[in-house]
Amino acid sequence: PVLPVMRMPKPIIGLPSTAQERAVISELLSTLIGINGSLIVPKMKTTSIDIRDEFSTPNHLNDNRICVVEFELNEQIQESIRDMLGDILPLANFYFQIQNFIEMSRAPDSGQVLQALSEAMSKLITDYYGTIAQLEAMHIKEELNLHKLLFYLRPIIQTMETLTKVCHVLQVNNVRGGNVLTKLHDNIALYSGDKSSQEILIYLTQKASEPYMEILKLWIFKGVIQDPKMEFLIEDTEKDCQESEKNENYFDNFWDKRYMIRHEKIPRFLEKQANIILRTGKYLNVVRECGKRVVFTHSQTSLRFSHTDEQNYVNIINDAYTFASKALLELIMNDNDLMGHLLSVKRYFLLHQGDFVVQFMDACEGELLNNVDDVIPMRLENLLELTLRLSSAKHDKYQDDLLTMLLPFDICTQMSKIIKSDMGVDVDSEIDDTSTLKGIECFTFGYTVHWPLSIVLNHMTISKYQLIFRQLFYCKHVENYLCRVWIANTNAKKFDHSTSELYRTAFTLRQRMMNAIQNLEYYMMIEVIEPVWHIFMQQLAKAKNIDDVLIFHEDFLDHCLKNCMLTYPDLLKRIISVCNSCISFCQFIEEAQRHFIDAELSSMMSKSYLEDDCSDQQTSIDEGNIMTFSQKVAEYDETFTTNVVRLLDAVTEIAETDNSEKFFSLCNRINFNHYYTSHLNLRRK
Amino acid sequence: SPDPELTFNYSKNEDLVQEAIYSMTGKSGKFLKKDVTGEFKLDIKARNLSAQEGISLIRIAEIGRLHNDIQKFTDSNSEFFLCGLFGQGLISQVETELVQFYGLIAHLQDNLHSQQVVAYTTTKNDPLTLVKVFSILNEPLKRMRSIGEILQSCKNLKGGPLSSALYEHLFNGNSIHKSLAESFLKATCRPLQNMLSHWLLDGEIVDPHHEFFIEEIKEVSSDRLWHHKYRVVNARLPLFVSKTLARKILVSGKSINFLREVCEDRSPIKGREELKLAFENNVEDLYAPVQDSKLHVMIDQVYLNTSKKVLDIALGQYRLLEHLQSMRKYLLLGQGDFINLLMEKLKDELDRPAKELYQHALFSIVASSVRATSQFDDGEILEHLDVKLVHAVDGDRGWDIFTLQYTVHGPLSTILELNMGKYQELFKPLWKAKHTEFVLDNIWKNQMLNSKRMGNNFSELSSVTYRLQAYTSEMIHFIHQMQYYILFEVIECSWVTFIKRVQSAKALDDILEAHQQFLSAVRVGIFLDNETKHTLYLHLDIIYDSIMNLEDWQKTFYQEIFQELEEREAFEKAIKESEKKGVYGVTSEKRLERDEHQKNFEQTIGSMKKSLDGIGNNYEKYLNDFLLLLTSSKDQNLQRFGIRLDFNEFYKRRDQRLKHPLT
Repeated sequence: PVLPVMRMPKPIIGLPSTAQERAVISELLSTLIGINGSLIVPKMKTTSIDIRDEFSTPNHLNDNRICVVEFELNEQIQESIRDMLGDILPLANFYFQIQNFIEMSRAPDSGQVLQALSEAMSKLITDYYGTIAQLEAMHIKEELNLHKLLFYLRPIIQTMETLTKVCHVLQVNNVRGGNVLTKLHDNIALYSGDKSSQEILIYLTQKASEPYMEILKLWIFKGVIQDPKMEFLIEDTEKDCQESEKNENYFDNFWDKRYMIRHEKIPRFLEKQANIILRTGKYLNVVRECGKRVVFTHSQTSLRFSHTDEQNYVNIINDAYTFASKALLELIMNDNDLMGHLLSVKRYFLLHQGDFVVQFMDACEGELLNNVDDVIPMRLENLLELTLRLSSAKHDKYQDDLLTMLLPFDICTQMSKIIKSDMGVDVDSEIDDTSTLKGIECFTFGYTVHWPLSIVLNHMTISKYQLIFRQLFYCKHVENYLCRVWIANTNAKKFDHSTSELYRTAFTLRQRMMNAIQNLEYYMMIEVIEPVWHIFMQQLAKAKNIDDVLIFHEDFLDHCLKNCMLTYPDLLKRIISVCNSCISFCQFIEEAQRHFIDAELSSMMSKSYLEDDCSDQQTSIDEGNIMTFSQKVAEYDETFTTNVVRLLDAVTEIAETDNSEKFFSLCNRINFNHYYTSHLNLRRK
Repeated sequence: SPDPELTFNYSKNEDLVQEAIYSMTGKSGKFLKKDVTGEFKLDIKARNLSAQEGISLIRIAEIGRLHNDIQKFTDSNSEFFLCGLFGQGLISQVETELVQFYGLIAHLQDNLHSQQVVAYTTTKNDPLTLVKVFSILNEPLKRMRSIGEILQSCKNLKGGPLSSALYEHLFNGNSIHKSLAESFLKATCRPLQNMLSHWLLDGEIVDPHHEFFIEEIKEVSSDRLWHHKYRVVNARLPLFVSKTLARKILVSGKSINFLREVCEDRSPIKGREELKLAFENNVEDLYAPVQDSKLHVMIDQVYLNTSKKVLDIALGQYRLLEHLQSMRKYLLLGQGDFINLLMEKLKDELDRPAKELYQHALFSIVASSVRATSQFDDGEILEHLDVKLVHAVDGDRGWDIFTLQYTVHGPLSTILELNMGKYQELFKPLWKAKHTEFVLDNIWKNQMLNSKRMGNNFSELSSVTYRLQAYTSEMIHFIHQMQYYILFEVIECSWVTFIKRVQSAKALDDILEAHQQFLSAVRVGIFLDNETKHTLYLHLDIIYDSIMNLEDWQKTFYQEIFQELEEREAFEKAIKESEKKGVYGVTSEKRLERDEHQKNFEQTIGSMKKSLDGIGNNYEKYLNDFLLLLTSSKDQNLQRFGIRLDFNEFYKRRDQRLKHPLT
């Protein structure tokens, strides 16, 4: 403050030393509470300080300079008194700096933690004022000298020094919120040798953490964040989202992106609990979003920082977590029937319900054999609805959630896309060429999932189900096709022995294909999916919280994907090419059928027709085709065998390196009586 | 003896402390003077104070300045005075704080005084010094500063914003600051609580200073009470009252007013006393961080209770649902037999030019149709149903201007006021579709009847009649699918969802919103909504018109035929009669005349055949356009409708454009 011209200090030079001491003491006492005198004159100065704080790495960006005060002593003061003053005056400097810090941190935008800290420090300063006032009273009674003063002040100097250092640490690192608590907590450990300093630090930490703990309480007991100054370790990224703006996208992002941990805002003593804290509030939020009231029944009052009894708040946080996770698990399992939905998903995506799959395949195979651009999605949708209501799927409560989808790429491309996007390549920009794809290659089911089940059945898991489904469905389609060819081929029984000889090679090949495909299906459905599903169900029954459910579900799906060979792009391609070779063979036989079998039958049964011109022509065509027919069959045989052998080869290779016995059993199934062993050996060589 | 300068000077100390105590309430003293800004400065007289005495005084005087600043807010003459009831609440709380502060000063003064007494009597006790005052004042100083800061942020505010400003101070880590803000906010909310309980319990707004976040618009009469009379003023909404809560509060009070003024029901609200109690005891729940406190539950309860009551009255006493049902029956053509009968009866009237129509004549027809078909309704329907003729343009026929109208009275008109116009808008396209169907039915009926009458006489016309029948059945297929789409897929399906929502409705507004959605779903369904769909509507209109053309064509076609038939028969008869008379045949003159007529007839038929093809081709062209629009639409229902219209790909094979893939 600006002062008017004051009365000049009375010269003290000629005074006796006791009188001089008295004069100095009365100035000193005021100086200690920041009131300037005329014998001891303060000088402001900025210095850069070196903080010995092993927890904070030296950072050159931080402003290390702080404002300190130094004192100039009047020339007339005796040497001995000066020396004594030199011992006491640092206290005035400490007071000055602490007071500075208190003023700075009580500003409205410095955050609740700093404000609380400022209040606690201010209380200490009040005590300090009290001490000075007492000393003054002694001084008035003329009971005080500098030595006595030093004796009384000594312990106070020490505490004030500790406080000043704490202020420095906080100031230089420019910390706020949870970070302040971390720094304070670290400093408690630094002063473990100095008991009184440590006690003060513990007191400060406790006070400073009070508002933080309030925020924490609200979060873990109610799932609400009330943190206008952004100090809390959890951040609500969509705080301002209004009720009306909540679309599907909002719920999609809810689980993963809505609440984030701000790592720099975690107080050191909560570091281990951070994850649990995040999840607790997140769970409660889901429960609240679903319109339920959250009433936490345990005692909530005792959540506060404690240096000695860490277990206390850890226990409370854990209690809250158990409560929240139980509430959410109950909500998802009971109120929203997760099990029912999972079963429903399995029913359709993992071909659990045979009659539905067969009927659906029958109904829409014709449509799906068209080029994908010609398939009318509307029609598929109608056929699906029809099948759902005609098959035993009609008992499924959730049948209406099933949809049909046509993706613009086949399964191999989808898988490679997933792998690519895992590696960080941007795949969405690629435009897919659909002109060569058939509907069946692009077809998959979709499934509408409603909040809050979309936490478990989210976009990612559904697309994993879709991958498995596409593989199974394609195999099923091949099998279906082979069966149709087989039915048509039963006509050949009516042929006489010599002619049916001709077809035998073709029929054998067909049988081998059937064997391969059926075994592949059997392997995937019975050996992979069923047991894993069983385990998954058992795990679910034991799940204690929603994260368990998520992990079990993910494990289940990954296991299925891996053992159904979907995660190896190479293997997947080989399986598809085995399937494709079957399909092209079937097409060939179907095509040929029209020409031959009718001709064979007609030549056998009604000799009279032979006289007709047209059957004459047919037989002549036959003659020409018989050669190429057996050649063609041999060709298809060749391709098929190579494809199967290549598949087996790759499977064995992976099985050997991966040490997973399931792959071996696939080999053993397809190569049941070592039919392909010789081929394999040949290939190996 | 010691230097008098260095011994403690009691009387000077007393002077200084007295000065300090004066300055604490903002009064100027001997040494300290206020300057224009309210800041205390040392006076020239202070020259004989030492530096530290002067500085001490100045630092103590800071609290005096704060006191002055705070007092400004409580002074009704100052520009800072907080007006309004909210401000009043705040001021009264500030006053208690000041009283406490005065208590402290009085205590200090007491201390000083007793010290003076002591000083003249016995031993010297610990005197009250500036340093001591300073240490005593440290905490109060902090408190006064907080009060000052809080008040500063409330400057020139009133009502909701004032409490919002206080609310923000709750998030201060300083516990003194926080508890001050809490007590201020609580005091401020007392008038709000009063207003709320008046509003929620009696539907009254007691708000002399325009602070309450619900506003009554005085100019609006009570017949428009439900939609327009009350509204939430967002600018007055405190931060801690969410929009949803505000809406609930609005609806609760509005419902009470609605019940009292419109329905004249004055029975008390359930749970009234409890709510009153909750308001008195738990004001602070209003700004609790989680909105599930007891008070919120109570507000919810009142909301549900009043809403339930309004709902019950609307649905029960005033039969809202029945009226909505009749509106659907009559205005959205839900009751088939009535509409058919009405069309039959109105046909002659409506075929006439629009200007010759009379409302009362039409109404009597409507009334008789209602009586003939509404055996399941009580007779009240006719009180609500009315005919309205739209303003006619030249060339309009009766069909174009005829509309049915449904009027409701009393409370229901307040509720349904907004939506009546929408029914009018929907009626026209529905009526037109129905009319087209009616016309087609008649075309088909005539064909059937006339083909019997024609017998085998006109074998040469078989190509024309074949065409005619082919076109007719194409059109019939179209109109049936169209009717199915509109009546079942659009209206019936939306109606079912609407009824479901009505059954689960908790408040009248739920029903009204569902009704709104029902109407707009129908509107979208019959292509009335936006630009792209509007083209669909226009196409549909052209298709209907070409069907109407067919009717006219057929009328003249059969006229020609029967004229010819009559002439032929007359000719034959003449021959037979002349044979009876014994005269041979007809004269060549007559034969010539007959041949001439026959030739004319064949010519007319030839040209009519051309015009029939014209009608058919146009129809097909428009239909193809329509289909193309449907299949290229993004709406799945429309795509599905397109597929059903063209279920065996009849049109797809004919029109290249339709072959383009959908995906």
